[in-house]
Parts: sequence; C-alpha cells; structure tokens
Amino acid sequence: MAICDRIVVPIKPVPDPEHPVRVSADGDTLLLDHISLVPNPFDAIALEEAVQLRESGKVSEVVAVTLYGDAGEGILRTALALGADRAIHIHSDDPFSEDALTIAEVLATVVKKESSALVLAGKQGVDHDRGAVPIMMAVHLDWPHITLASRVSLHADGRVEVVRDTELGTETLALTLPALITAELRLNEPRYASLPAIMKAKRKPLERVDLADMLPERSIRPPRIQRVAVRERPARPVGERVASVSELADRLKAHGLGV
Amino acid sequence: MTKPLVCARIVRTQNGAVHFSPTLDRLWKAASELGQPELLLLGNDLKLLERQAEGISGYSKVLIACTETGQALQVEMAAAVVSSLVKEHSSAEWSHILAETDSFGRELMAHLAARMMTALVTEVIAIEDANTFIRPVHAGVIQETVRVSQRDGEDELPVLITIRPTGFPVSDDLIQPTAPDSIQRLDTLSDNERVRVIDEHASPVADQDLTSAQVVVGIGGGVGDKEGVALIEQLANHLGGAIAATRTAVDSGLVSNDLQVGQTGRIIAPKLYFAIGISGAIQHLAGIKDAGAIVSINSDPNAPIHAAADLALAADLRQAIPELIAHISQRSETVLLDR
Ligand SMILES: Cc1cc2nc3c(=O)[nH]c(=O)nc-3n(C[C@H](O)[C@H](O)[C@H](O)COP(=O)(O)OP(=O)(O)OC[C@H]3O[C@@H](n4cnc5c(N)ncnc54)[C@H](O)[C@@H]3O)c2cc1C
Ligand SMILES: Nc1ncnc2c1ncn2[C@@H]1O[C@H](COP(=O)(O)O)[C@@H](O)[C@H]1O
Repeated sequence: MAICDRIVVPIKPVPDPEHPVRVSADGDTLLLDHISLVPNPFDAIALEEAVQLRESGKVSEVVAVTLYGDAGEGILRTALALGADRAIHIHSDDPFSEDALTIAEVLATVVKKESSALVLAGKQGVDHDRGAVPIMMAVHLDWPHITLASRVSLHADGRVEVVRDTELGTETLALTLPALITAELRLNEPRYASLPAIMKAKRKPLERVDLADMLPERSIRPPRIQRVAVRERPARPVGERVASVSELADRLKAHGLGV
Repeated sequence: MTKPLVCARIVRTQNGAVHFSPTLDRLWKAASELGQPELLLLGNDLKLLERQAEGISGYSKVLIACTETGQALQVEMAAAVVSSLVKEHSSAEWSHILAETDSFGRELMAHLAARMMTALVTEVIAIEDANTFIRPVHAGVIQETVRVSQRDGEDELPVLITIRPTGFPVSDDLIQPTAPDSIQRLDTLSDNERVRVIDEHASPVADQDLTSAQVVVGIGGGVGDKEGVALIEQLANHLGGAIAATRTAVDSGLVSNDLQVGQTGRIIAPKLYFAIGISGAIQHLAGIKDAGAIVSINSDPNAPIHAAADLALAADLRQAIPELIAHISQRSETVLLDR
C-alpha cells in the first residue's frame, strides 16, 4: 500500500537559462519574449524524485501545479510528459511574480485542497534565485520543511529521511509526514521526455482554475515588492590570449597581480 | 534614524569543528547603510557565542540566543525567537532584519516573511535607500532595482533582506574597534521537535574563508582525478589562495559540495580567480563575475571560459600548472598581491 496518497510538485516556468536575457533599448524592460519557457531545472529534479516514488509504489499520484499566465499550460504538459499524473494550472495574468508571499499562499491553498501530505519543490527558481516560495508554503501549511535535499528516503511509517548539503557540510535529518522538501541539483538526474510519453501526456488531465475563482474571498493585495528599474550588468572588458605559461606570468605581473 | 538587526549563526558541529560567519563585518557594512546596526547571534554553544560577542566591533548591541548546548540550531527555532523579539518590542524597534544569503539566512528570512507577512528582498548587492535595493537576477546578467512597500494601515513591520556579502567589501580600518555597549542573553531556543538531526558531517574545508579570499583557484571537470586536485592544491598553496569548484567537479567527487561556486553555490569576488579545466557555463560564471581578474587554463581553445577571462591560456593543465608553480616559486621573493 502506498505510504502517501499524493505528492504535489510546484513547477515554476522560467526563461530557458541557456539564453541570456537582455534589457530593452530604452532600458525599461526585460526582453523575454524570444526566450522559450522551461520548467525550472530544480523543479524538474523535484518532479523526477516524485515520479520515482510513485514508480516504486510508495506514492499513488503526482500532481504538478503552476501559477502563471497562458504559458503555464505548456510547462505543465512538459511536466505530464516527464511523469506527473495530473496537472493544475492556476491561471493568472497578474504581474505579482515578485511577490513570493502571494504565490506561496495560493500554492499552499492548492496543497490543502488536494489533501496532499508531501510537497517536493525546487530549491530556487533560476530566474530570480530567490528560493523563498516553498518555505513560505510550509509556514502557511504549518508543516516542517527541509531544504537542499540531495537524498530523500520515504519509510513505511511515514518517516522521511533527508540528506542535505549546506556550506557547513552534509547532514541527515528526519521528519514525519506531512512535510515539504526542496530539491538540490544532486538529488537525481531528471529523465528526458520520450515521444510516447509526450503523446500520452496530451491525454492526461490538466485542470485550469482561474485564480479569482479559486480564492473568491480573496482580493489580491498589491505586491509588497515592485521592480522599478532593470539594467544589464556591465560587461567585463575583453581579455587577452596568452601563448605560454611564462607569458601568462608576465601579463599577471603587468596587471599588478604579479608573480 | 532607522535601526537594522543583523542575524548570524555561530555553531559548533557535532564533530567539534566551529563555524562562524566570516562575513559579520560585511553584514555590518550593509546594515550600517540603513542605520545603527544591532546583532543577534544564534548558535548552539553559549561560551562560543559569548566569546564572539565580546570581540565584535561596530555593533552597538549584541543579543545572544542559544540552543541547549550541542543541540543543532535549526531555522524554525531561530524564526520563532526573531519573530517573538519583533512582537515584544515596539513595532518600530527594527526597521530592517538582515542575514547572509547562505542556506541558513535564505531559509530564516523566507520563514520570517511568511510568519510576519512582510516584504522579503533576497541577495541584495547594493542599498539605495531604506526601501530600495539592487539585486542580481537571471544568473547575474541583469541587475534589478526593487522597491518595497509595507502594508498600509498596519504597524510598520521590518523589511527582511538577505545580503550577498561580495556586494559589501570592507577595509580593515572601516569598523571602529569598539566593543558593544550591551550584550544580552535571550532565553534558550526552544527545541524543534518536528525536524530531527540524525547525522552531521562537517565539510573538511568549510573553514577556509572563500568569501573574502583574495586569490581563488577553481577546479573544473577537466582536472579529472585526485592527482589533478593535488596539483591544484599545490598551486593554491603557492598563491596563498583558497579552493573552489564547479558543479561537475563536485558531482564527480573530486571535492566537497560546499566548495561549489556559481548560481546555485557560492558567489565570490577575489582579486584573482584561476579557472582550471572549467568550460565556462553561465551557471558557473554567475558566481565569479565580480572577480578582479579571471585567468583561464583550458586545453580547448574554444571553451567559453576563455572569452570570459582577462587572461586566457589554451593549454593542458597537467603541463601548465607545474610550470606555473615553478614560475611562482622561482620568484617567491616577490610577494603575490599586497595581502
Ligand atoms: C540549475 C543548474 C544550476 C547549476 N549551478 C551551477 C553552479 O552553481 N556552479 C557550477 O559550476 N555549475 C552549475 N551548474 C552546472 C553547469 O551548467 C555546468 O555543467 C558546469 O559548470 C560545468 O563544469 P565544468 O566546467 O567543470 O565541466 P565541463 O563542462 O565538463 O568542462 C570541463 C572543461 O575542462 C577542459 N579540460 C579537459 N581536460 C583538460 C586538461 N587536461 N587541461 C585543461 N583543460 C581540460 C575541457 O576542455 C572542458 O572545457 C548548474 C546547472 C544547472 C542545470
Ligand atoms: N509561480 C509558481 N508556480 C509554481 N511553483 C512555483 C512558482 N513560483 C515558485 N514556485 C516554486 O517555488 C520554488 C522556488 O521559487 P522561488 O522562490 O521563486 O525561487 C520553485 O522551484 C517552485 O517549486
């Protein structure tokens, strides 16, 4: 019998990190339209872990959730092709991407509704490197949380053992479900979506919920953080090629970094 | 004048190693741009915390919160103590609460933000005014300015910030060497029964101060094996530098995880960075963009790292590194950098 009915995996759409983001000529906005969106790489890792738990029979169902505009649907189709059983697209065009508190509140509501006892999320979105939403979700749910997991073991009695990596080294922690865990790069190597998996994903259930319908009592608060300016980081000056180690040593010296 | 509170952890790990934040002075620098900073030291060894508090400079007041000795310090405990401090004091006591952008600081601040429903700004590299901050996004390619506004009609809540230490370098003479006016011990941190520590392994090299090292030698996948690592360590020793690594080097077990530099590891800004056997992925470059100078040694002349470097040498590291070491020891009478 499964140890846990349902894992929720929140998936954040992010611009493909292989394509550098630019600022518009007037310096006001980020040019993102030409860059395709992908599931945040850490979320793909969290999803892979969830799918492996389901494949091992420890979990019955994996539900992927995204809060985003129209493009969220494509991201969730990818998640379904990568093994999620079902997806929930909370649709919102509201530009509150900077407001982690609001995102976390909405996602926590979904977790409650789905009566899930385990959330596996990414350790951070590679767009803003924030890493705040999952922890805020755990606080909303009043669940214990462990970040930066590099190994997750789910035991029959509902105990979860997690190995995590920090600046101080490695530690093994344990908690009991319900729990929220965030995935570090080392947790696993996500699979690629096979063609049959992509075909199958088209028939998997993808529910669209409008944010306003989901939380009718809720009037969206103005975000507490607003972006007021963006600029490209000044490029480093073009460097020079050296042909040998002794030339390298000379140039270092000329730069005042001398050996 | 506004008053920021800096939160930092100073812990003793199970196998006896002591870890303290080497960036307390950088956090002070950031906080002092906002007001007269106070400090909350969190840890699991009271003697250690008290010793650290007495030797501290720049902070007018130091608060100490400790777990029962030896017991691991966890985020939930720390969050509970900070939020009750904020509640106890008049709401305007602290204008900002700051921590480092490391695994502990990130988690603590996110936890507090959700508990207090207050604004959080992560990875701040510059402070424009009390409500306006600059932070890098999209792997450091873009810098954005954000403004926070707290909720209307409620008590002013502190703004929560995590600081990227490389944004706030300090010179030695900057901080007045004055002991704090007061050191205050808070109640023992109450136990967190929800998450239990089963095992701990301190990193063998976590004590090296990667954040403020002047010279750093980065190990990439091209370094290949333990022999290669030994060679790099030898170079680092000759340069008086610290060791860093790429994800690939960590994954292949060449070095421990805490040495990873990049978008999802540490961010460093040494005067001189040697990228050895490193291809130059955008995620790694995100961690070294603020280096004074970057030197690349990579056998592939087309490796992207060469384009990012100030000095690029296309060569096999197994030949180049011993040669470089020989050069350095030959001229060892000259001191490398004015350290
Ligand atoms: C979400 C995400 C986050 C990531 N975060 C980080 C991060 O924080 N930090 C990070 O570093 N990476 C990160 N990565 C991984 C990153 O994308 C690259 O895979 C990684 O940086 C590559 O490491 P490398 O350059 O050491 O290895 P490789 O790309 O394998 O490069 C090895 C290089 O060594 C050279 N070489 C081989 N033999 C020799 C020799 N004998 N002499 C000289 N040169 C030689 C080769 O020419 C090659 O260029 C992340 C990836 C993802 C998906
Ligand atoms: N809009 C979103 N939709 C779904 N999940 C999200 C969203 N934003 C953040 N998350 C989750 O929270 C993690 C950290 O995000 P962040 O705090 O934005 O860095 C991501 O890896 C996702 O798992």
